[in-house]
Amino acid sequence: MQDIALKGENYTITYDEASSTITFAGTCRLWPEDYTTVNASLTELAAQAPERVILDLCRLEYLNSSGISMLTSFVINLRNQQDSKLLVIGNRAYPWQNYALRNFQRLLPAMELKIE
Amino acid sequence: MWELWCLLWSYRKKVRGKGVTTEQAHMPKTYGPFKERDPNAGEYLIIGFSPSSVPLRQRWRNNSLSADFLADYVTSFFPAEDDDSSYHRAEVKDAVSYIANELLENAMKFSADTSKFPVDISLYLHPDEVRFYVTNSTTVATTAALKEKIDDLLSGDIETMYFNQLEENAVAERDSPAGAGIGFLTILYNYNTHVAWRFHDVTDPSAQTVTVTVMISLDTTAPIKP
Repeated sequence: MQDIALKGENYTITYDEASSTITFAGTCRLWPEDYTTVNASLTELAAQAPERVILDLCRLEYLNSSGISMLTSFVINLRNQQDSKLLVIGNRAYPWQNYALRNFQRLLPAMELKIE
Repeated sequence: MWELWCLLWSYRKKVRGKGVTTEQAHMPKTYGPFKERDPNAGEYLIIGFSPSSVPLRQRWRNNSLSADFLADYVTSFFPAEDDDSSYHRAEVKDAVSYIANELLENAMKFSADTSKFPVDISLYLHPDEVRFYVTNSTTVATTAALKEKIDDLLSGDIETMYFNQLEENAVAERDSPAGAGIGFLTILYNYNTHVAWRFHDVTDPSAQTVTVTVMISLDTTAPIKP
């Protein structure tokens, strides 16, 4: 998966290959089909079974259910690979992350979760 | 003569029967614990979206703008006096914004393309809960699938359905983003909410559209499930 950068009015989604870090920031409530590029990149990344991936959601204020579903699919795909370690970084200032990220962890118990 | 009387009686019964059926057809049908709007609740807000020639995709951002506006409005009634009340206020704001946005996204996606009817969202503040009502019109064809979904949501185990749907989406999303069917499940599984629907029968016979109102009540004493 190559570096990606997707910017909209109120959100940014980036992937830094060097640090294997995916970052979502802002309010990400896209029309479902507008997630196509990011979804394809995440699916490709999971298929490569990277040793370690960081999902940084520290600055992600809101995410709609289409986005939650897409990120959960990524977590499930990593779980199915069995070789990847995932670190998810959240922010307690955004209460939705408390349940959404714990739901990720339920699907991938080995996932490391830091809520800052 | 007797035969004729029987025939007449039978005809009258049919006519009466039809009359009752027609009246029933226009009665709204309710699914789940639907609570009526209460204008005496104190505070309420209604936002309406008129049918527009602007494509839905261009109007999509209005869902989030409206949801955030409703959420900001609600925070005025949850003063932040210390750490606990500040966090509680943040939780209520977060829940209202998420739920309103999901309800609007759904209403926009499933509104009949040819509909002359508006979409509206109203929010009523009660002492222990916030109630959302979102009304849109949809096609008769879409309604059948929606009613099936409603039966599942009202009778099934939400936790099992939530995780099953995410596993199914993970398979479907290998090709394209789907996110299908997860909106209501996130609202019901992650927040302290109840959901109900009301269908008003064919509002526009020529376009075969039906008006649907979904009601969500959110427990504001503990909006997010532990």
